[in-house]
Amino acid sequence: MGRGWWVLAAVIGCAGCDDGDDAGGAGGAGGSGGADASAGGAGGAGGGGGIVPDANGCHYVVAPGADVQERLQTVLIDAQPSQVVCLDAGTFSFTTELSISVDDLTLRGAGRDATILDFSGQTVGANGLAITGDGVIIDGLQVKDSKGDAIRAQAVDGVVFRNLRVLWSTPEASTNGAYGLYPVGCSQVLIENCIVSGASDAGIYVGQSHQILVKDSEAFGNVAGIEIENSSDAEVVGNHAHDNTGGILVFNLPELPVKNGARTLVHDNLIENNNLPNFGKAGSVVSQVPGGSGAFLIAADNNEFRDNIIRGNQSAGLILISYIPELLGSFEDPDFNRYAENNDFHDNEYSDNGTMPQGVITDLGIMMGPDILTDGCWPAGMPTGGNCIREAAGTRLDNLDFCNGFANRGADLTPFDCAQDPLPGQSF
Amino acid sequence: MTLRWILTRLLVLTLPLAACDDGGTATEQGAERPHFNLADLPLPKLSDYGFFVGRMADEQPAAGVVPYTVIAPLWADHAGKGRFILLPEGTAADTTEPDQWALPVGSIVIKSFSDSGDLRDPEGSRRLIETRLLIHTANGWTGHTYLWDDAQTEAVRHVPGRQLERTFLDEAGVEQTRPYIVPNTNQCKNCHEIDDTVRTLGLSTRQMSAEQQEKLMAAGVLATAAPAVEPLVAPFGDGPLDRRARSYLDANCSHCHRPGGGGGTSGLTLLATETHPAAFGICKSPVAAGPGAGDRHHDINPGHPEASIMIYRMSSTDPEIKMPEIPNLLVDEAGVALLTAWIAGMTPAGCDRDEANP
Repeated sequence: MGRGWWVLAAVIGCAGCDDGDDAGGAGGAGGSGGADASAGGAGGAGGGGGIVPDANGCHYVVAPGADVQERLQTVLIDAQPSQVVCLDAGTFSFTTELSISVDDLTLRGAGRDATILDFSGQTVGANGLAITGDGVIIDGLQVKDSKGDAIRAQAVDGVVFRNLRVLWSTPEASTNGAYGLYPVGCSQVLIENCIVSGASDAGIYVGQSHQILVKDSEAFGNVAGIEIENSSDAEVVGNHAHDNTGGILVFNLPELPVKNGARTLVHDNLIENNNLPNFGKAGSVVSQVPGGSGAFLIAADNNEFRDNIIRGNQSAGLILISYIPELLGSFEDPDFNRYAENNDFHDNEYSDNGTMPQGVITDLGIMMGPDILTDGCWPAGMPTGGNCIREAAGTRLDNLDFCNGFANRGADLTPFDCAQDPLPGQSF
Repeated sequence: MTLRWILTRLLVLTLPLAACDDGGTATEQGAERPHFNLADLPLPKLSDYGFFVGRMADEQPAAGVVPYTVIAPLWADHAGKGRFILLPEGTAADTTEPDQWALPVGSIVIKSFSDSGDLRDPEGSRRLIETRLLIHTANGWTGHTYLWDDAQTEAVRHVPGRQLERTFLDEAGVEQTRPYIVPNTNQCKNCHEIDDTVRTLGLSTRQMSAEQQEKLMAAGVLATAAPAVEPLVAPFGDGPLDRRARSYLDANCSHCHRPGGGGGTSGLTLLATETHPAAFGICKSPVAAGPGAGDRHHDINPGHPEASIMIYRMSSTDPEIKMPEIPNLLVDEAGVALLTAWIAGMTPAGCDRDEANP
């Protein structure tokens, strides 16, 4: 047969190939619009690349209503890096975790009490929003009643949570999700102007991260209001932590990949009335925090607490301890430094703290809690562990000398009269 | 013999070649390699790829599409699995890195999920639910899934995920339903993204028995057997209990529970190659399990499965508590029993504990 037969065959048509499709496939890179009818309803969806943002800077606008789980998730997958997905005002109901993996994507609502992402019907997923893209911005919306953590950012470089509300509707329920805002293993974390309540572990939590700024936010009704854990180079400023079990926590815990966090600057916060009985589930370190704790540091180093108002916390204003295995759990971690060292506490205002101690504080026989409570456990050769306290006259200290069996328990502040280098703020 | 007769016979023989992109190798009709442009992927329908010949739901592989099995399969809510590899013609997998065989750009790994419509005749009533692809593009691996229709004639690409209710007849012939999750395209990465890179999971030397490797060599997927490593053992076979339990955990959990995986920040590493007991959970305190700790204090309390967080989380269907987090809705009862027996048999028993929990 000559070549002509092949040409004739090609001209006649394609009976042996894909029925009805043009040769070469119709999908196209990144496009999903042609594949799934349920992806409709999102303005401008289908391929992403050529979309011009509208007058509000939105590449996509998604309204609440039927099939919003599939509509919004499709948009979040189709969007291109740096695009903006806008949500109308209203309540959006989800049954499954939403995931964002596109870098530099912005998800923007109409306001923290106007655009409500309601996860009360959630059956799948440990988070409300799960973020794995770098540089994602979540702005102006509410996440409500997620089954697990409300917004998790996992191992990302750059994340912004701004103008958000996270809440659980039932106060003090141990079945509430553990964390409100939960960046873990991240860098350049910015949390600003957010309001978080109801978390059964920590409302605003940053873990195993570095370069962190938590500012102008409010945390109440959580076990831990704001918690910085195993993280470094953080600034916590201008926040209102009130009516939590513990207001602001800075912890170093063992047996984690990133350990021995340092250099958190906590300043100009209002830490008051954190007297909520602990409603966390037993088995976590935070479930050991006694209600009435204003600020709480465990095994943390080189932090600075200054210019905070610490008042009305009924166990103690500020608690500084080493990692005590009997209280917090045994561990095997030769690289973990269990002592709290070289922290600097100065120019804070204390009032009305310790008036009705709770939990382990009363177990210690403390009837009237101090402004500052410390276990007094220091490494050998470091008389106060390098910790410095320069507060106003009349600030009440209780140094338990716990590791020496309370032998030299006392209230003397003079050994703590020292200073560490001030810490810088964070900007990025 | 009419011209029409001649032409129809010629059409059958020649048109698949003339209309396709790579002028693919046709040895005989029905045994042709799949043909498509990598740049056009993903395609809208599973049939667009040409992975299978004959009735697509029978999963009879076309030339170059090589079936394989793994030693320790992933729990997926009772779903059966079909696994296939398609490499670009003339290429083979590089087995230098035992944890992840390197496949060239243009490779596609195929995994289908099926269940039975009638448990009185499970094999005869098998129906496909979804077929997932991992495609090795020039920009790395990307995951996609295709949902099968009830008529079992076609599977269509589906991006946003879906929760299905699968209707079936139980052993007594009574209609039941059970849930099944189809992941969205992002959720492929929940398991398949490690160290910010999407990758295959089951194509590791420890998951491939010597017999399986010989079959892959015969099919041209491997040039030689992979350098030997200690293989996993079938979790429900008759190997030693400790090895079976570690194999189960490796296959079901270690994609997240390893450094760089989604659960890496927990410090719990469930790779079978992890030798440090505290790292694979012995007397390890939880970090951020929240309610997932269930009032228990250690991931594994030797001798005490009832005090072990691992058992608690794997036995739960609560979205916040359950492990694994996403890919299943049903508890793997056999897996829980395996790990319960493993923990119960550990000595010496107990972890040091504080006064609050004896």
